[in-house]
Amino acid sequence: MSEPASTHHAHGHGAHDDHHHEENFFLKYFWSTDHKVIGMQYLLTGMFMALFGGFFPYVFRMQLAFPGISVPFYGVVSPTEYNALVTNHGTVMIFWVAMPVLIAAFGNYLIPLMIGADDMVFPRLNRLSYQVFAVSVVVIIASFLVPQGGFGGAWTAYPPLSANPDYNLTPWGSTLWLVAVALEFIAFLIGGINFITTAMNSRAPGMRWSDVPMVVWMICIASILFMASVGPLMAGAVMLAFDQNLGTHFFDPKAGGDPILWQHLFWFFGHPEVYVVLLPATGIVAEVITTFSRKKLFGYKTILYTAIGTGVLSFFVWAHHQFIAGIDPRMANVFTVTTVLISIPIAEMMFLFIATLYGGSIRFKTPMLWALSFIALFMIGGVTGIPLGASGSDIYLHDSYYVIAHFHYTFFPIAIIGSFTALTYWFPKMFGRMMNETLGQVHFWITAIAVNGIFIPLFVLGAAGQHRRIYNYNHFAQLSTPDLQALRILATVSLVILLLAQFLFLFNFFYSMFFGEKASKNPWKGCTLEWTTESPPGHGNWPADQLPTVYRGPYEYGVEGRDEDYWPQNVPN
Amino acid sequence: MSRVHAVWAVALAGLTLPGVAEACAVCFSATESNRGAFIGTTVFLTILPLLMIGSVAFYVYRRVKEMEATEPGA
Amino acid sequence: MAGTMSEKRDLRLIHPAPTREQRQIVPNEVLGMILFIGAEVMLFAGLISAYAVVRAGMPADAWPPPGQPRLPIAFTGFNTLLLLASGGAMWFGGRKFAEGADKAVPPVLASLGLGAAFVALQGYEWANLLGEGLSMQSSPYGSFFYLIVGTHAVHAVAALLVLSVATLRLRAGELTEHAFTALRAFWYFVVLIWPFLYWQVYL
Repeated sequence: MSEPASTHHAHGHGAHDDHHHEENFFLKYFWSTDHKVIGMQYLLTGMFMALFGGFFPYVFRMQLAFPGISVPFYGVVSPTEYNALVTNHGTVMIFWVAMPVLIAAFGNYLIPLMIGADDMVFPRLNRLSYQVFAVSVVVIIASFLVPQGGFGGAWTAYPPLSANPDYNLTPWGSTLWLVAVALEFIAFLIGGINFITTAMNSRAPGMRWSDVPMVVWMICIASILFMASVGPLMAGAVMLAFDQNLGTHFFDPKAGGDPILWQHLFWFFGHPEVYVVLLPATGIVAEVITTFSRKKLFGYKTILYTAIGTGVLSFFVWAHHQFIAGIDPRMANVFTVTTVLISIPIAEMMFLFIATLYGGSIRFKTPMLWALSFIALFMIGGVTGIPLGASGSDIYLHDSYYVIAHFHYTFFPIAIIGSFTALTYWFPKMFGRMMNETLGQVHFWITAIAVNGIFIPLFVLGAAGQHRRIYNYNHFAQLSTPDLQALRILATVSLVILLLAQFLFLFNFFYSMFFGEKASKNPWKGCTLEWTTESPPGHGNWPADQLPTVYRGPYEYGVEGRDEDYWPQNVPN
Repeated sequence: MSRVHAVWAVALAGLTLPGVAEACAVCFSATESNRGAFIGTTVFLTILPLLMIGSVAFYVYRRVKEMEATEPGA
Repeated sequence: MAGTMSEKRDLRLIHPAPTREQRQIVPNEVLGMILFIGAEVMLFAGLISAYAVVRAGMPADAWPPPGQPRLPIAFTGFNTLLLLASGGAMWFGGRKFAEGADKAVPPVLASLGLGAAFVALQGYEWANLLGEGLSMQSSPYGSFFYLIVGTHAVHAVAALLVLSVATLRLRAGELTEHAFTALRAFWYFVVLIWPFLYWQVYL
């Protein structure tokens, strides 16, 4: 636990320190301590896991739309497989896509570049973080290959279903699932320590706290939230693993345990986790919106304070997941109030983004389109959450497809649109080439329309009473009417279109990486420090004698009396 | 009654509003002590991280002030 | 203090050449360890909360369960004093470090010895309790006892191993001041959380 990197910052990466440049391919790309390489490893792993976790909904939505058919590229879906697919879709998308891409990949890549540092303060801990994460990827994939297949107790893993192999029928898969999640948490714990320490101690000379770009702030706040909330879930995970394998009865009511206890331990982490992935996405959107509307970020400090307020409030809301689990009504009252309260800072943040747009000279490049669609879709997700946060109406909507549609309207903008915003915006910096703009816009429009085609029907289905986690709705007379089935087919078709559109992105991504138009240092004319170095930056980010000094805030666009409409942070006057 | 009092009164009244909604007639835990423990641990788990974060933030703030006082313009 | 920020920035204009020197507000190692300890505190808070909830859900006459052995309060109380003494020795080692790294070695070794004695005596207690029939499976009482005390033991053993390696580096004069501070902070965490666990689990 004690990385002896204390002397690291004493020596530089510059010309006198050349052994990094002589490394062979393996050492360079798999054993590197360079934050950019580690960020790229996280990014590519996260993209691979997005394909992995994105394939699951294709299979189970085909089963729901056309029950019992042999799904192309998969085969007939059994009920156990269906459970494993829905469970791991949730787990993979949150823990192996949203977290590694939004926090680990962009956190690693951007924090040192944006604060003008040559690397993280604990580079070897950083490498360890990715290695632990890579092991967790192997474990979660392996959980599908063991006898009885992957864990099928839903991504929330409520006991007694998750605790007893007689109920969940996956004795191996459930334990491997827990091990993978625990490893993943350790990886992000190490990573988060690194992010916060780096942002606090390695800032360029002259960079005050109000000169730090918003995305760096957001990743740091998210890391603090993660570290402060993950402990109880780790405790619960150990207890659940003991229940599964050692014959203890922590969550078994038969023998004096308490199943509701797990729900508290899980959601104590689980709800702050929503804000852990939301805040970096809003930070990314803030960067993109200012750059492409050529206007100063409206209310920098207000956004920062609302983010901190959101973080504080996020510890007070988790029990709204247990409104019908039989928690004390006195507790339900309090949590209803806090849950509805937390929409205020988030809404404030969205309005400040819109205020940033107001009066700007907006350029509709691909990253900007993604950023704007983030605001639009996330607002739908936020507004539809209010009936769920109020404990009275939640009783009727709980565990219906309304809930599914609601949280996908939040998580899709966060995890997918947020990642696309960041990727298309920083792609020139990461790979030194521009992405194809036409392909990018085609991909954007198909994705942004198809996602509504998936989840608007699910709102309707949920309001009609369709329950979650059902293998085949033909077993329920009221839910197997033709008009409801038509909505299911609409959602499935939209999903297939959405998934096919991603191949467009993959083509664009890999083609542009090698054959795209060469990017300049600062293709978007941004003010923040990462645009002052080469694209892609070399080892050490800046030549040793040219590390930047900061003279002003990160969003000085359209300052009057200057030739250019932007004023980079590192230019003295 | 001042405006602040009125706001507080409305907020407190709001706390009592959802009181009639109980979803499940049979599934809350049997004993009052268990319910009390849930509330107690909820408060404990919620306050503890905020206290820790707050105290570290305060410590950092103090350090920054200290450094600004001692650093000769570096 | 007003206006120092902007004055500071103006002064920086005179020295525009950036250096790789970090302006460490809190030393890197110490800050990293503080954050790590925060996460660890939350782990134990989760365990204690779970314990409190299950304990409160039990009928009053079923906790501790009839027919199961009672935890040795006095024996562990003595053990707690050993651990606190170990923490005191570590604190003394930190004081001595200012006089020279080698001066800090004897108190740190004493601290490690006391810590190892604590772990050994806890192990002896576990062996006795297992012999008397208190196991992880026998009741939630036993489950939580072994879970919470075991989690603490894992931390204590891991800390002892790391500190042993660190002591070798301390003796060789290779351990930096901040790394030593961070390691001591982790040991204080292991020491100081124990009385709280003792109060919750044993009393």
